[in-house]
Amino acid sequence: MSKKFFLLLIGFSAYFLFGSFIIQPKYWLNKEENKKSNPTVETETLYNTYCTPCHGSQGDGEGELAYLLYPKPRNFTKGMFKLRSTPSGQMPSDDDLFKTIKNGMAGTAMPSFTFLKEDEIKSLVDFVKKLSQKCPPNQPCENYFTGAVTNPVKVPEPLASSAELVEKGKSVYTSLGCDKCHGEKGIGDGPSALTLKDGWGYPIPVRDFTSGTYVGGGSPKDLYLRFITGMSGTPMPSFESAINEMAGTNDADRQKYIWGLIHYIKSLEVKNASTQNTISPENNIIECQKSSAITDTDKLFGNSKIWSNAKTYSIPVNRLWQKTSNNQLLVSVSAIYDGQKVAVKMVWNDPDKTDNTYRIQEFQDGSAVQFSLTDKPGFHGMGSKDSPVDIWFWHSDWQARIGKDNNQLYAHSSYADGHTTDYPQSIHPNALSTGRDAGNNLSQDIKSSPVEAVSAKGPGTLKSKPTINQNVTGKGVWAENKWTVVLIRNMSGGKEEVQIANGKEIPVAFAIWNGSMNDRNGQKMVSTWYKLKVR
Amino acid sequence: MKMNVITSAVLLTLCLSTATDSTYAGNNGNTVAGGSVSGTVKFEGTAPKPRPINMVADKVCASQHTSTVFSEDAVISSTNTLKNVFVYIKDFKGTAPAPKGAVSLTQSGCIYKPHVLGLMVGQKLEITNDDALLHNLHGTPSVNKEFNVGQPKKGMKNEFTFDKEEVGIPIKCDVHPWMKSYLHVLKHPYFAVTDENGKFTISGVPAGTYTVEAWHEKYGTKTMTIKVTDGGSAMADFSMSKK
Repeated sequence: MSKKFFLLLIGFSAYFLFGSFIIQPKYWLNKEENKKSNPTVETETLYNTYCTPCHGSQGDGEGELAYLLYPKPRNFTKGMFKLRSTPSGQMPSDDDLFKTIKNGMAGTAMPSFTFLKEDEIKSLVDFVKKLSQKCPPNQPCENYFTGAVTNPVKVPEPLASSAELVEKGKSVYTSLGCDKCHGEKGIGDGPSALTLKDGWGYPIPVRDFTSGTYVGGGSPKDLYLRFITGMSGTPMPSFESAINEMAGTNDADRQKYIWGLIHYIKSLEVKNASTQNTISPENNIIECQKSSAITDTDKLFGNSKIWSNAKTYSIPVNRLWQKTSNNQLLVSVSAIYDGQKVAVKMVWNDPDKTDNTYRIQEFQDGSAVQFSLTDKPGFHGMGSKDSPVDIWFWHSDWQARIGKDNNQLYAHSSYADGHTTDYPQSIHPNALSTGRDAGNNLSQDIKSSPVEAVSAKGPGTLKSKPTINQNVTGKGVWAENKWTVVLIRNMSGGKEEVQIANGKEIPVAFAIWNGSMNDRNGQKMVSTWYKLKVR
Repeated sequence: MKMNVITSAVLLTLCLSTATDSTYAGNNGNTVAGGSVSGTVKFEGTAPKPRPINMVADKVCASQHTSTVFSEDAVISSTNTLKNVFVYIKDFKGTAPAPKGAVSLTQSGCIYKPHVLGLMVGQKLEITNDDALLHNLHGTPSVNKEFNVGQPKKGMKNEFTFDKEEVGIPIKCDVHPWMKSYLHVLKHPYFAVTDENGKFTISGVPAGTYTVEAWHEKYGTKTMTIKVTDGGSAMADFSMSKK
């Protein structure tokens, strides 16, 4: 071996041993060590998976899905954050940002990220702070958090609610002028409501207090902070100095004044009946319990004992395009399996049953369950290329069409003088119908199941499975202003289908469409990710 | 300690140089340091019709006015001069301590008085509610920090200061969407706002050659180079038009 070659070999060995160690720790170290040595790589991946689709990779609020959302995703580069515990004019504390990401913003498209680990959320807080900078042309960027002072407001213990306190709060509500925007009855219809705009010039709906849904949480302490600090980038001002002016300096008076107002606002909430006897999933886990044999769909409704072992979970779903009220709904979810089949039940309030497809201006009720095909779920809005999803989609209008052809459904039943173009097979049973005969599920004029099995690899990639792979059955029953929908499938699935087996934890999410609120397609109410634990 | 000595020396030099360069106090017996800049802002073309404000959203606001209130976003006189134009020296290098006195802005009859206001970095701005109803003071600066404070009571006052220079800070009331005012924050006192006749005067300007800018919320900006001499009066007439 020549000396030169020997030296070269040593050089190469040294490079492989140490060089790559230094240059590319990502490929060298195991996952845990990698995180310590180079946190930004993983944080950036997290941000890009869960935040970029809406907030954009630079945090400017111009993500590819931003146009589908209302209110718009926050632009971090303006340094304004809605939920603060700090006085007006200050930046939010790390804890404020942590809570915002963890809990999400109820009634808006911002989901809760309870399915992430605490240190993952913390690293996202740091990443968002890093993006929160102003970059004037030809000048260095200036981060809003550099040297920012944050003195969180101390929230005193709330006074217990009483009729007297609520009465006091009612007069405070008017004397402060809350009614100017929130309206006399607190339903968000005050005289100034329709002219309000957010910090980017978009119209902004006023909180409807009867909905009981608050972006920053609905506890009295949460409301105290919103009231005292205001909400940056919205018309909601800080009432801190107003309180000093109006409630006087006596602390007892001041407490009565503020908590009275908060208890009055809380008293306006209309209780949601469908959430009785339900629990919030602990650690985001929805248990799928063993049951007796799942047979006839009809036997899964009413007082069926088959669900007696199953727990009922209360899952919030939030509307992606906010309406003036009712942007959050609680869906009661339960799941069972018998070793062969699995059944998922969803129950939610819907006072108007809408399943008609005759008029183009009408939309239909629906619900869906989404499973991630990867253990770590992708973006909750229909997954991503690396993390596809399997969706079971129940359509109220498909159910109304079961066993009925178009003529029976529309023209002849709804309008005596109506006319629809005849499908070829209504003229001759063997006539060719290209879509139907090629196995396109959507071309079937007579529906046999109200459930559509679909797959997706990210927003805009939704694909109905071929007719032969439509393996999900189910049914919806509307009674007493409520929908109850049960979806059933074999536990083992085929290609691009979720495998449900004992001991598995499968990421799962839910969606609801309310036809009378004009929900359709992407415009719907969605939940964040949970885990279906089969035990 | 070494650092402190150097810093003090730098500060001392700065103080001295400011003192010699700009004795902006103006009238000091017979010796006048600096000169003045004055002029008129004309409006070119056909003046738009004054836009009446509809106060129907709040009856209390409407009840405080006996005649129609017009928007102040374009106030043009019969001789085509423009009111509420902020005129200031754009490239003045020195700084001056903020005056002790506060500048005041009042909400009266659901209108901001005055409509345009100049003040200095660090100077107090006192905003008062003269109406017995809820106003919110919502400042939406792009350099300074956003603020949004509710004033539900007549006579309520809030004080604000700005730590950075910024021209054209909008202040609005979300409750009454027609209410809008503009603040201009500078490091020096060489600014003025045009009156009903479109006239302005900036006095006590240290001698030198400067760029003067005229800023209007609707008609944009115009600049001009002028030369100020001790005891002299420089003229700066501007004309603005629809964009």
